[in-house]
Amino acid sequence: MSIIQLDTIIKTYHMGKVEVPALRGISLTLVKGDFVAIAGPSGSGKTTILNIIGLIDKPTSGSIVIADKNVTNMKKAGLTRMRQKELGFIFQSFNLISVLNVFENVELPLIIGKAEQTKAERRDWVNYLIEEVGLADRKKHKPAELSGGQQQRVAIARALSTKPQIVIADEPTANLDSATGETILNLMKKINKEQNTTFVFSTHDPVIHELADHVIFLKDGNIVRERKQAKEVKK
Amino acid sequence: MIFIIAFRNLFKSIRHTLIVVFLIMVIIALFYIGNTVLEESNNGLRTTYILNYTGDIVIQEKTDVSMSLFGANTPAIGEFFSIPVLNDVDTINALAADFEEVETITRQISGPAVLDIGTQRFGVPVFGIDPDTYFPCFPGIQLDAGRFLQSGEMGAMLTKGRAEQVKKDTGVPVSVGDSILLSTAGTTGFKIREVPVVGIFSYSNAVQIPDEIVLTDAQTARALNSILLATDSDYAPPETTVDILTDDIDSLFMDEGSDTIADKTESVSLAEIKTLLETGTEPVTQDWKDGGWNFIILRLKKGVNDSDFLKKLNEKLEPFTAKAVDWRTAAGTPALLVLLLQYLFNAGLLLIIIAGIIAIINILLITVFQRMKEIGTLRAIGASDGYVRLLIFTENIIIAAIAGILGIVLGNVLIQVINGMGISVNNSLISSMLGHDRIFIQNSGLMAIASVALSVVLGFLSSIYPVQIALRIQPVEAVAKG
Ligand SMILES: Nc1ncnc2c1ncn2[C@@H]1O[C@H](COP(=O)(O)OP(=O)(O)O)[C@@H](O)[C@H]1O
Ligand SMILES: [Mg+2]
Repeated sequence: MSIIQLDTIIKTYHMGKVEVPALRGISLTLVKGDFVAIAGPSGSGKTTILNIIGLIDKPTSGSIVIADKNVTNMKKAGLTRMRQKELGFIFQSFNLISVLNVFENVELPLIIGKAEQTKAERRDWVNYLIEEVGLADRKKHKPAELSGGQQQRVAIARALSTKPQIVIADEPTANLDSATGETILNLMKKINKEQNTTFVFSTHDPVIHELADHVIFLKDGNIVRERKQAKEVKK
Repeated sequence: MIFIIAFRNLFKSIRHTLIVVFLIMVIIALFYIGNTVLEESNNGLRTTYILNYTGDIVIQEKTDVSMSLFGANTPAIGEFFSIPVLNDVDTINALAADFEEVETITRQISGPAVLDIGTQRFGVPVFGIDPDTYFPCFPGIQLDAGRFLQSGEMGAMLTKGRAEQVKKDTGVPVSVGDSILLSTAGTTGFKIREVPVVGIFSYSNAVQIPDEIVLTDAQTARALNSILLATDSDYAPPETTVDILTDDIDSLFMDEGSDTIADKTESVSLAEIKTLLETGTEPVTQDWKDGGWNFIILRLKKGVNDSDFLKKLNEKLEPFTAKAVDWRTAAGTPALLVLLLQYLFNAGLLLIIIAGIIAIINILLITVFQRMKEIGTLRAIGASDGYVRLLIFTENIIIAAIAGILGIVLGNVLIQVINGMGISVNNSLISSMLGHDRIFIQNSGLMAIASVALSVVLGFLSSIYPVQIALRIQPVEAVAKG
């Protein structure tokens, strides 16, 4: 059962008069519950493709179907609703709201999306998520008072708070040391297994993508290789 | 949550917050002090004009020029302008009295005259009044010597200022019982009246113009202004009256518009006047029983909005040749000058407010640009246009409200300082504006509320454009470098 379908996605950036091709016609299908790594060297288009899947950027051409909805020509309000309900985003540089503490950061998407919950339900759920990511004793801390690994855990809890079907993570471990990076990945994998949430993350670290069930190798805006579970598929 | 984010953001970018708070605070303090003073001055003007001689509303004959109780408001025309007699005066009087907003009504005849007193000669405005209704209408008038003019008697009342000036100039004080001469030289001939001074009075918060005013009985004023006299009043010119006729009795009937019946020393019979009327040489629309009047003056009950009432009244006056004007118009040039000052002040304030808004918009824009990543992140995690808009408006309106309150505090402190200095004002114009001869500003609760409201409006207005810009921030800004 596919949850993400990209068909010949092309993305070209314009820097003044120069055209920079970032994606040159990407087609891929991801299934529900997938734990997908987008791998490739710097500049290969990983961020670009994740932004497009996460609906925070638009392709130059090509069509996108996410959670059975064709979002290719969707309007601003529709895209906003998709981001609220279906998608969670984990950023490379965490992007927590600095004036909010851990609890409030995790709670924020629920408030923005006007989730249908009582206050008590919401509080319990947020507390549960914070416990899941191992920050129960840091609830009242502001992001600035946390380490990078801790901030990324908050970001994971925040991405999960609306119970999205898909969580996008762009190099979630890039700003972390490798040991911390691995625990973050393991945390993501645990949630993936427990809740069947689809994870799509990028990394340029071979150690990290070894943990994925499904790896897509990018180079210069093209998919050069794809590997599902242990079996490798040449493209 | 929006409130929490908004509130904490204010502390996060505390420097911008402080600048904006400062700007709004200064604007609000200015607005607050300025309007408190203006409100004071309005009250001052009210006591000076409304309670002394204009009332709230004056009904007059429609004219091409703006007309005060002294004649045309345009000085150049003033000299040649004679105030038209009000048609249908009794009907209009009854109509006005029917309004429940009206507290008192009186009538008046006005015109310029030359006052001879002892060896002194002055140009004065003469107000011919109906004593029974006039003095109750004007509680600002205070008796200093003698008594108030009585109904049916012929006489004049001078101001204390006038009396003192005469004493200063001649060394001879004006006393009650002295005779004065009032004369006019209009197109219809030269009129002169000798009347006794029955009382000396003063206006509260007097300015120059009221000091000039001479109050007389209506008949004297009519005679001076060539207006038809009352016929069945118990009034009879006393023996002391001096009448100088420029024309003989024959020419009286030939001269169109001549109405110098009153200038005959003999009392006039009703029959004679009727003959006059039939021959058409007299204005026919006047009220015979009571004689002609120039103005009907209304004082309104407390709390009645005078401009609303004016509109209502003017609608009712539609079928007549009369119109109602407010006290500002009726008060003449000095009041207009004061109003001009008020307008200038408000215009200046408006300019400051506009400059302030522009400065605030700039700072808010900078703040928005500095927060591209934060706003992009909110967008990326699903914030709608409405959410971003609400967030920024909330932030700025909190700032504005805080600044507004601080502005009022600052304004009050400054007011205390000004009051503490006890500055005295010699200029009668300004003192009549303030209602005191010393600068003393009363704190105004209403003005404080208005000021906070204004600060919120300022916050809102200056947020509109920055919000527009913030809404253009794309979610991808969340991951943009730099
Ligand atoms: N905003 C942008 N403007 C211009 N070029 C861009 C922009 N973002 C990315 N690119 C270019 O697109 C290509 C792919 O970039 P990106 O998706 O960030 O790669 P990766 O995340 O794999 O490092 C690179 O050549 C990069 O320089
Ligand atoms: Mg990247």
